[in-house]
Amino acid sequence: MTKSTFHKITDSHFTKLVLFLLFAFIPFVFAVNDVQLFIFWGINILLAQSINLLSGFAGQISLGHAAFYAIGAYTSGILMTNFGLSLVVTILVTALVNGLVGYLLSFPAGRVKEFYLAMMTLGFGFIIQEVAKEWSSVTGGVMGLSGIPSPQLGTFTFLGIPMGLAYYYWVVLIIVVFFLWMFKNFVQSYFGRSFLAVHRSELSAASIGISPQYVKQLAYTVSALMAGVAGALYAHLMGYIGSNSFGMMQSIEILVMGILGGFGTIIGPILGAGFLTFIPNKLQFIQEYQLMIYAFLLVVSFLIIPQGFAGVLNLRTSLYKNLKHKEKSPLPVHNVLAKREIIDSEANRSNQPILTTTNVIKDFSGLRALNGISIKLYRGEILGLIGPNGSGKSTLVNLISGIYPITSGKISFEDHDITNKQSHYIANRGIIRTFQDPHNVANMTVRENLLLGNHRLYQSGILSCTINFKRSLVEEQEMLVKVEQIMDLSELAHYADDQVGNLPYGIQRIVEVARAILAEPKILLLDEPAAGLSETELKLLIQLIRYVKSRGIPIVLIDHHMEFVASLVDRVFVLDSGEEIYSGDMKGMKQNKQVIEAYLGVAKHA
Amino acid sequence: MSSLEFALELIFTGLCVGAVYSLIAHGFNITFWTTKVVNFGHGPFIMFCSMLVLSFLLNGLPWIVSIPLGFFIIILLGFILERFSIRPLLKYPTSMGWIVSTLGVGLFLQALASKIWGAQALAFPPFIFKATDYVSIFGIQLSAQYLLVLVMALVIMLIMEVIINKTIWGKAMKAVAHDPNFARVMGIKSKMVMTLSFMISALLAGVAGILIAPIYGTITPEFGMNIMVLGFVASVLGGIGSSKGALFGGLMLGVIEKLVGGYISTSAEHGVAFLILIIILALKPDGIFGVKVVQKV
Repeated sequence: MTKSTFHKITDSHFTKLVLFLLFAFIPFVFAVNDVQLFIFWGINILLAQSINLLSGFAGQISLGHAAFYAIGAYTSGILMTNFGLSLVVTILVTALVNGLVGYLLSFPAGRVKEFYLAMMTLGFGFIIQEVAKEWSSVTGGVMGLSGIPSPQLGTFTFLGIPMGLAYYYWVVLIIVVFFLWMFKNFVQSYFGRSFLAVHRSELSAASIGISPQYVKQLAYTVSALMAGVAGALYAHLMGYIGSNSFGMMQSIEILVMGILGGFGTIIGPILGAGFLTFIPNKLQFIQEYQLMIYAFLLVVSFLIIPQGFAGVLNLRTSLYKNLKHKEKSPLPVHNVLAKREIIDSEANRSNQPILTTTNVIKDFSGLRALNGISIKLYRGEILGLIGPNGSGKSTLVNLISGIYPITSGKISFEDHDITNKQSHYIANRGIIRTFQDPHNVANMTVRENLLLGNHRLYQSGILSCTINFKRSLVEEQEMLVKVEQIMDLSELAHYADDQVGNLPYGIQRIVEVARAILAEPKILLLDEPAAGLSETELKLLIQLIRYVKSRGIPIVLIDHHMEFVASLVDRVFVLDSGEEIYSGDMKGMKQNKQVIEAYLGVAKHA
Repeated sequence: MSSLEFALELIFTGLCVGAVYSLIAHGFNITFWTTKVVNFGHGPFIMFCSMLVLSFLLNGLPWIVSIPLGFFIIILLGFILERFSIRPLLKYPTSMGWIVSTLGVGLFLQALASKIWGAQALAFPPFIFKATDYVSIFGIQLSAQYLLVLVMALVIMLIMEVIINKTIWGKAMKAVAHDPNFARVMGIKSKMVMTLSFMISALLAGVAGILIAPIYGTITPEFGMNIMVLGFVASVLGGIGSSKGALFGGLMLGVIEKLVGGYISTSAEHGVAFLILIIILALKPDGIFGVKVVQKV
């Protein structure tokens, strides 16, 4: 069976319905013990997807995930034993409380990365367990909290009806299926893509208008919420919760489910959760050495199967919603840019500069990289930024795009002061840049990367994307059409479904430029786009740049390839050692003494 | 006992426990310098060494043999850790790989320890002094065992400082920390220095284990992970990568813990420590001495 037919079968509604019915029949077929295992699988799926969203998609490692699970379990347990609230209410309240905890944690956690974050989440896990252990008046301390209505003990009622394990299984099944459906919709929307962009690099995510701060807040909130619901389901299943169930080993188990299954996919964590639910239970030998085996899996999984089961089975989750059967009438290329932009180009004739830097100075701990640079950029022009290596060209672009704070001076854009504003804010205003080395998301396809460029144009809300409101689907299709058009223009169409990381360097550059164009910039900053391109790729790049210019969008172009620059720019600005040495047309530059000196050393070195 | 004496005693015990935290933080520093890796399995290394020594003692071996034997095995484990779970993962751009794999090695040791010695707490005998030996200084009764731990931890840190700053090995390590490729060009075997740093780090874990075990009185397979997180707190408090930071961070944490334990509640001791970890990371991840180190290294 080929990959595509496999996908066709797994994606069809019929298959899903059959699967759902098969799962719904489980209580009739299996013994009580096994039904309980299936319920555990469901709970573990929620946990695994919860850490998948946070670590697999958003790239924020979590070594204390059991803390969210614990908070969920205790919240619902306490609500039910002390206040006698029904399952629906406790789950909703638990989800809210956990979401809030996740949101609050995102503030300290959002400030740190990598192993600092690992330490922090480890500490967070320990704190919550300590609280559960020591706050005995509420949590029952080491004795635990018992007497939670449970279907196993026959003490569980739902809407007044006593419910056995089979009913509880169906409740869990429906909740899990519902969550998985929402999870899929979410990760296949521009939200999910922005998570992966932040995972790859916060810097490059911000450069196309994604706020890393916001992504992390969202990731922590939703992840905590899902783990909380899992905790609530667990509390009711067991009827008893003790602080020992939520220790570090539980956090590790959740992590193993995610890693082993395959982070960044939907099917992976489901398989990982299944593996860790059924295998230890069915094989006595494994149960005895369970901890050692988990630890061993942690050590080897990254070495042997870095993509987990999903990677081994080659099951990648695509990150956009494809409704192929719907309209696919390609609009003419010139409609790629929104009407707004075309109206903008009417204003081209005005003499007001769109971007002004005034006396910009940048010091790097005592070293002056830029000394009093004043540039005006006018609508519709291409400004070449030239200078020897280390002259401050990239630094200037980094200052304009908000990556470095400036030491003194002012940068304004369309009458707004954007000096020292956050990078994603500047990008969202319409200043889009590319980097010296391509900053695409390597494990996303070309099409998905290009969709990332559209990020700042999306307007659908989070709920709309998660529940698949029609408007959000229509919007996604519109964006896909735009992507399709730019792929035609930049000859990327036959790479559309290839992961960018596997493509040649030149293609990656073209993808990044195309992505920037899709962001519908008001100003485009290109930092050495021609470096490392082949002759044909260079032609393609020139074509793209001319296209942007034809839309009236001004460009700042940095490059060392003089012929390339000369063929495109209207004006050049030459920097040397952080100082402006020339500004004017190309012809004048070639005769300028200072420029010649800067490039060839002192004149007449013979 | 007067309130002043009580406070002084808390501070003293805090300093002693804190000195061990400092040793743990030093263990993190050494590998951090050479590879920017922090061993998330450091805790179980601490535990494993003390367990090994205890089991040698219980089998009738004298201290003088048990301790070197324990150290030898733990150094060997440090070597294995670097070879199999760090070196292959350093090529990845994110740290998730080595965090997870070092943690995995640690958990494996922890699980192995519960398999061999059981999950229950084992009594660890006092070292050199008896638990009841006291020294009186300025009218305060100081436990001789605690004092010994404090002095030994400080001496070891002093020796470390001398080795790193004065010997050729220390200089090689600094060179690798600064730029491994450049160090290699200059004829330093960067890879060997990296491996060595993990072996020394493991040795420091072992020393910390031997010193803390008599203070705790009993040891369990889990105590390593707990104390490792306290080592993180010490490390972050002072600033990762700073020797001065490790020393003061550890001592400060020890004193804070004991004061909280003495005046508020002993059950809040660790909770407060973990809270400090989160707050410091959120406010100043470089720690107190971190900034200076960045320029020095």
